[in-house]
Parts: sequence; structure tokens; C-alpha cells
Amino acid sequence: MKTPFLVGETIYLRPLESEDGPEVAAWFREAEFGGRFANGLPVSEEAARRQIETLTRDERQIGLAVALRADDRLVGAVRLYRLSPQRRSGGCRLALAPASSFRGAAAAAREVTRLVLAYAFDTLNLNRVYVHLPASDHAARTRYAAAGFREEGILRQEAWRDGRYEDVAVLALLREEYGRT
Amino acid sequence: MRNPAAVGRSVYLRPIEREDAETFQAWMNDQDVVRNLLIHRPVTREEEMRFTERATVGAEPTEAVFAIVRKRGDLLIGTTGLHAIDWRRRMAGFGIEIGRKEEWGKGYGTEATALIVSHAFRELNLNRVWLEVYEFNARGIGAYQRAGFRMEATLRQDCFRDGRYWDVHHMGILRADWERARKREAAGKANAKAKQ
Repeated sequence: MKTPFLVGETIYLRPLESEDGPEVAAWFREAEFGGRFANGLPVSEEAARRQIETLTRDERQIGLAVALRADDRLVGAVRLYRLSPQRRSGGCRLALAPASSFRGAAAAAREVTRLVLAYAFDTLNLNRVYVHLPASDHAARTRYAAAGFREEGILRQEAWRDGRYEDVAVLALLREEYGRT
Repeated sequence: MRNPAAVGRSVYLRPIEREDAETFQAWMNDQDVVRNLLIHRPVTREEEMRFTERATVGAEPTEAVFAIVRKRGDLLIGTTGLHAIDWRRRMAGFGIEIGRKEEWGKGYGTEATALIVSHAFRELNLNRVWLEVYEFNARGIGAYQRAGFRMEATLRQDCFRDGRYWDVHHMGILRADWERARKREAAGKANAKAKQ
């Protein structure tokens, strides 16, 4: 393992480095359907490296790379964003390489979620962690619900992808609920 | 009226001017006012000057902030605007405060909200305007509902005030909602006219 930060069974999380940029920025673009990396403009490899540098220097964000323990291969990234020390809350976004590109992607997603939540509640002392998911992605919504997240509502036409608006589901997990499932 | 940008029945919106900064700074440090806002730190004169400078001559393509002025007496009573305008998703966040507390509860916030919503759809060609409001801000919630915003999500414990957590309501209005309301209004007026 290279600079492991949080260690799971099959994967580990390590600091994001600028050279992870091109791959990681693309995965985030895919996962964020219109977030800060997906403004519809071209992203050069250099711009992607800079995006990652910006993320790692931003106090309101924490980014981590996801790597396989077996061969250190980079297979995804996760970031906590809009971290507020006053509200003690933050958003969480997981961006993995396409499921076809490595074995055990579903299990890896669960493991990353478990590690990040433990970090968010036990180390960062957050009170609330939320995720924004495409409302149409029922598989992801079920996965987060299984991790204890509760649905809080639907933001209508919040995202723009492939020529049309999409609804976004908000799910959140509170400290008082964390660890109950 | 001085340089009006949008005119309602009893208030109008005008661009912000540099000399408004002093008034704004007092409001932005008034705990009764900021209790309903995102702010929880003291706001220095320099920070307030930066804000007005940006609103006055900054020409930020992602912000459209106005002063709310009561027509009677041409009295500056608050600010309102659209923030984080996203030109690809055609959406923006809405914010407002009536800083002059004696003017609370008179419907000025509702009027200013309607003016901004109309500005968003009529002038800026947006598709969606959203806002977040704390659960204890009943005045705000009422004003936003009257202006056509709908509750979309309740973010549990996403606000900390007075030593405890509170829920935050996420509300939104779509262009389609706004157009439907305008049609209903026009039909209502036509009906009233026919009855006369």
C-alpha cells in the first residue's frame, strides 16, 4: 500500500495527488452530472490535475483516492464537500471506475462508504452527512438506504445531463442514526 | 424612485450602490437579522465594502443582487438576489433579507421575492430557482410559498442556532410552475372583467 490513510479489507483510501487528476476528474464528472467538474467545457489533463490540487487545498473539502490493496491500482475517489465547521455537516460523493473495469466494485463501494462515514463521524466529528443522487438511480438510493441514510426529498430538475433535466434525490445520515444499521 | 430595476406595488428593486455599504454592515451584524441567514461571523466594514463593490461594479456573471427600497419615503429596507447562477443548468439560488426590522411583517419580502422570481424567468431565462430556509423562519417560509416556491426536501439538522440543531427546508420553483401561475392569474383577471 502507498501512503494508506484509511484501510479496508480489499481497498484502502490514500491522499489524492495531482497526478491522479485526469482519471479521478473524469470519474467525478461522471458521478456529479453537473457539479463543479462538469460545466460542459473541455477539461485538459493539466486542468484536471489543477482541479485536484484545488480540491486538496480547499478547507471545505477532503478528497481521498480509492486503491486496491492487491496491486495499488487506482479505482476511484471519494470527496467530502461543503464541509461546515459550524453546522458540522458535509456532502459526500463517491466516484468509482466503471464496474466492469475491476472485480468486486459493489463490495468496494460499500467498503469505501463505511470507511468514509467512520472518518466523518468519529474523526471529523460531523453531525450530518448527505448525498445527492440522480433520482432515477434506484440502485444507488437503495444502497445508501441500506447504509442507514434516509431520503429527505427530491430537487426537481436540479441536474442537466444528456440534453435534459433530471431530478436529484437528497439522502442524509445523522450522527444519532449512525451505527444503528 | 432612483434607478428602478423592477417595480412592485409598495417596493421596488434597484442596483446596489457603494454608499449602501454602511447600512448593510449594520444589518449584517444584527443577530435578529442574521439568525435567518448563512452568516454567523461578524462582518467587518471591509468585507461589506467588498460585497457592495462586487455588486456595484464587479459584473459577476453568477450574481444578480439588488437593493429593496420601500416606495414610500424611498427607504432602503433590504437586499435580495440570485446567487450561484449556473448558466448551463439555468438555475440559481435565491437570497433575501429585510434588514430594517420595523418593516418586517408588512409583505415587502413576499413582494420582493416575486419580483426576483419574475426577473429570473423573464429576464435571465432561467429554468429553476431554489432556496434554503430554516424551519423556525415562518415569515420566510410563508413569503416563499406565496411567491410560488414549493417544498422539495427537508434537510434534517442542517442548521445550528441557539444551541441546537434545526431542520432546513429546501424549496424550488420551476419555470413551468411560474408560467402556470401567470396563466391562472390572467384567467382570474379575465373572469373578473367578464363578471363586471
